[in-house]
Amino acid sequence: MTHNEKSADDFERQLAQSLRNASPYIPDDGFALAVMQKLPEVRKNYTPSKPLLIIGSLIVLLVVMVGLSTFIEPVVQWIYTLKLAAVIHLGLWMLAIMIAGVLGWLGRRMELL
Amino acid sequence: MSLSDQDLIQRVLRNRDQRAFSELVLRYQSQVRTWCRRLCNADAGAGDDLAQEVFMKAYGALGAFKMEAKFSVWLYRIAFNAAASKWRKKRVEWCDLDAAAEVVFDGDDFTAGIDMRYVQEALERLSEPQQIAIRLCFEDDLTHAEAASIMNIPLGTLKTHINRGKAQLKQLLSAELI
Repeated sequence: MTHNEKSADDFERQLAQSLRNASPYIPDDGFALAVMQKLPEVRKNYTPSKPLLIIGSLIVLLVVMVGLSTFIEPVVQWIYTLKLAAVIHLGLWMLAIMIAGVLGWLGRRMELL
Repeated sequence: MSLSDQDLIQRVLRNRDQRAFSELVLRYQSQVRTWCRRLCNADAGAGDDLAQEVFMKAYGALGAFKMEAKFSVWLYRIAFNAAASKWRKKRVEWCDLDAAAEVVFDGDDFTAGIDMRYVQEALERLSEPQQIAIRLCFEDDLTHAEAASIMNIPLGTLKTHINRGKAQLKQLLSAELI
């Protein structure tokens, strides 16, 4: 390294040091909070995964090909055979599943899960 | 143990985790506000407004951030573009090479007789692109390539700004022209 190159390095070092010393850290003083309050509401869009989309598309395709009535008729006949107690039983199960879903969603939002 | 920038960014992207983003704001607010105040001619109020805008834009566009880059450089670039689009005329002033001839400092010993106490005053005498380039590279310790990407100018132009600015600074500081 020549004398002038070393001097140039010294100058750059001194320059950097002087500039950094003259530029103190700015305390937050509520700046971050102000930014966070201005951020848009979190709205997470649900996008189904690829395998789910493929399976869904295949089911729709199958229904279209075979005919809707083939699937619906047995379901309707099954509903007519149900007793009231069985319907209530089914309803309670569905309610329990929905409550579990809501709790799961809340847990994820609050980062407990 | 504090999380890395990349981890925090991933959290924001995956879960829109605003606490992770708040941590990023806290981490970079001083640097970004200093940079924005510089772009607003040391007006603290205008600089802080610009800095808020920068973080909001960053939040919206976080998916476009390339993880291998420095987060601070990305924020600086957003600030520069936001300021430049606000004051279109400024963009030209900030980036163009000066028409003035290059200053050549012909002192044998570059540091002899240079008084660094007046470096701020001397810096203010330089053209705006020279000031910006020198502050980015020496005050913020960015590489020439990073500074060039922030100012959206070719690397060669950035280097010219730096060299001319340094030569002029040496001349001003050694000749006590301040």
